[in-house]
Amino acid sequence: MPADGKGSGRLQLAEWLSSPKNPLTARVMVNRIWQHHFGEGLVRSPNNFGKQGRPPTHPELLDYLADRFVADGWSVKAMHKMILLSRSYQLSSVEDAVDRALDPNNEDLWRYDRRRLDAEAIRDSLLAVSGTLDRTMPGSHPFPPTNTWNFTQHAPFQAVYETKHRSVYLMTQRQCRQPYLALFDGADANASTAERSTTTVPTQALFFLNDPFVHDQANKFAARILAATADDGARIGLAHRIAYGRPATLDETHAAEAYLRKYVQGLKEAGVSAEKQAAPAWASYARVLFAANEFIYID
Amino acid sequence: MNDPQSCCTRREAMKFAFGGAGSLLAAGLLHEMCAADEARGASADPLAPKAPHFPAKAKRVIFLFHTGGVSHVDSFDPKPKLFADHGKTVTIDEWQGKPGKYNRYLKKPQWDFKPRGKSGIEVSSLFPHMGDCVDDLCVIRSLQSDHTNHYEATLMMHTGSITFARPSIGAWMSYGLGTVNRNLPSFLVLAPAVPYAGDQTWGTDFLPGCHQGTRVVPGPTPIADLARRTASAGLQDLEREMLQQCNQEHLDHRAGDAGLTARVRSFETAYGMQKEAPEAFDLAKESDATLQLYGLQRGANTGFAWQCLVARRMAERGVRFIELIDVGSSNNWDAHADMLAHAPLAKNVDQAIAGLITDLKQRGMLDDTLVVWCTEFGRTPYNEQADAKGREHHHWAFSGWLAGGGVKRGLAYGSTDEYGIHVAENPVHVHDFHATILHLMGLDHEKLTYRHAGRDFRLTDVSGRVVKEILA
Repeated sequence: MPADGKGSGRLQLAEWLSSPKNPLTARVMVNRIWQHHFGEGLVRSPNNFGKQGRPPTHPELLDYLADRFVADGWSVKAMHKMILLSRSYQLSSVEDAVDRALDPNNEDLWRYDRRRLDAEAIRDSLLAVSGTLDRTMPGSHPFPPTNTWNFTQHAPFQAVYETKHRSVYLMTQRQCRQPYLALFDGADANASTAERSTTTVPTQALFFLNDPFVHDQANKFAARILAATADDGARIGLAHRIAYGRPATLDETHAAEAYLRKYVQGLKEAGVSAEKQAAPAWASYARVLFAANEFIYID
Repeated sequence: MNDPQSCCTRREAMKFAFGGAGSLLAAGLLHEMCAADEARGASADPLAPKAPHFPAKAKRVIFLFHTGGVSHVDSFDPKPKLFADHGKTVTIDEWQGKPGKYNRYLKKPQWDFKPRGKSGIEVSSLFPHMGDCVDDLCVIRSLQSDHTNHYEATLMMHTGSITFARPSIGAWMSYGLGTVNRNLPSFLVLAPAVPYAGDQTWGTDFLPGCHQGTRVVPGPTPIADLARRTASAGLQDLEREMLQQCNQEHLDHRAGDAGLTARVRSFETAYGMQKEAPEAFDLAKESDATLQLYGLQRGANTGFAWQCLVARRMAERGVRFIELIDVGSSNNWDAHADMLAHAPLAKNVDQAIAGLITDLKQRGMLDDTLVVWCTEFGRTPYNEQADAKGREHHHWAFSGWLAGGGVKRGLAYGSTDEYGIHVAENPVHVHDFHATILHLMGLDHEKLTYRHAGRDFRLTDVSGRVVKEILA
């Protein structure tokens, strides 16, 4: 970039970034969008397209997408649509021993790589299925009035604000990591996070077992199912459709009915009165559906 | 270390490559390969125990951090001339980060020094109990940091960086060595309040999230979500069986997916934690003698003595890195107004720390546990005003100590000038301190790397010298 000494250089930077002679910007962006849907980008080093980065697995496809991205007026939405309508995206994650032996890292996209939902999607899904997700535009966080601010390094701002809105609206600050996002590998706001790790640790399981947030969503999910119909079989089917987007199999329905009977029996033994048994039994079943791998892994 | 970019583990790949129909390898051999794989640390489980780079005595670290800046000239660094020259002026070439020449008044320490133990290492009366066990310590009187502010210096002592937050030393340790007890976190932080720089001090930054420190707030519920919420334990067992059944059915159609099986296992571990973790924090079975050693009242579940005793119990149970922070970012060792503010803070920690050292020693655990005592910086031996009662921040020279596995005992290493202003000999920069701690745990600070943003990062960045002189 020429340094002519006039102005701040921002215009020149913008022109260089968006110049038709510089294919890198569009490539980097479409790669990010691709990675968002597939777990891995066409370039598997999303923050490094240089000599030390990894070469694209599909260079022609990357350039095709980059060209289309520019031609569509840099529309992220149009790029999402094109990728989601592709055959590769719509492939199942079914295993194949021959393909696996040929391409163990699935760089040729012979299947869809099963993925765990990210932290935000897990929380959003729980809110959505329980019917408590607030889809309206959120206002600002309940920050204290500025004239009361006395924050110093000795008394820093450390609030965590809850919200029923999508997790993208959770407040983020550098000094105090949002505890839920930290638990499920959310980005550390201190570092540019091109790719998140996906760790599986027991404290995440404890969250599904005992966290008040999960129990709250399970209670609301149960109330939703109980209110919808009086037939247990139909309720189980509805619970599967809401939580997993598919009907329950016959085996699953039988197993769930048996489970609910046993749970009610357990509640009776714990001294819970008859009219108070349905809600906790269904809430327990809801927690099973939420905690199961099927809920947080996409095939 | 293992390549974070590979999407399937070697174990998984081998199972599909060799374990399918018409397997070319005998099952036994396959098993052997997988086992060797795990020994090198390429397991699907990022917290599985990994062999160190070289054999080491220390198997775990107890890291004691004192927030605010403990005065070195009032504790571990005796300066007779500072007593003698009280009120005289010195010229210094920088004042609290501001360059220039300044005349400042020397201020004598408010605690007397005496030779302690067989080694005769001088410790002040600020820490009488730590003085009692000085023969077990390796006191370092020549620590150096890079910044005069709390935030940056606290970040540096924990992450090696004064600018951007980087992975904490505990996170590096968890990443490098994994952990042996999966019913407890690998990196535990016992902290009643948050220090300067917040939870960045035990963060993972670019390392996988599972290596982040789990903060325990002393009190009745030390770890979140540990208590069951179902009406009875039997009901939770029922729920667990049902979950197991659903996951098994799901797994039957998706055989060989290490991620799914790892998550099923994580629920088993979580149930283990529900049972084991409360027991680990329960001090009811500790003897009166032990409680007295730490200066802990029976039934108490707060205070630094509680933190120290819990640290020993966590060490016994295989937690890899246990950090204890005494106080938060206010009412701490930052004694600008009056040095006597050090007295109650010292009283809070002194007997408990000595108790910890003695207890570890009695149980034979001091040989394979490394105890680290530190703060973010020292305090100025001089002041702007002749009658000032406090001291300012001083990162040019300060004191800390190491004790236990692999460290020389009863040694005072490094020294400062006659007033404790600059390091006179054998400087130990924070990077050197970190390199030495990693070395004592069997990790080469130049080899413990993680590829991020196009380069390999280290705890010690591009610096660090292992202080071989203090190795036993």
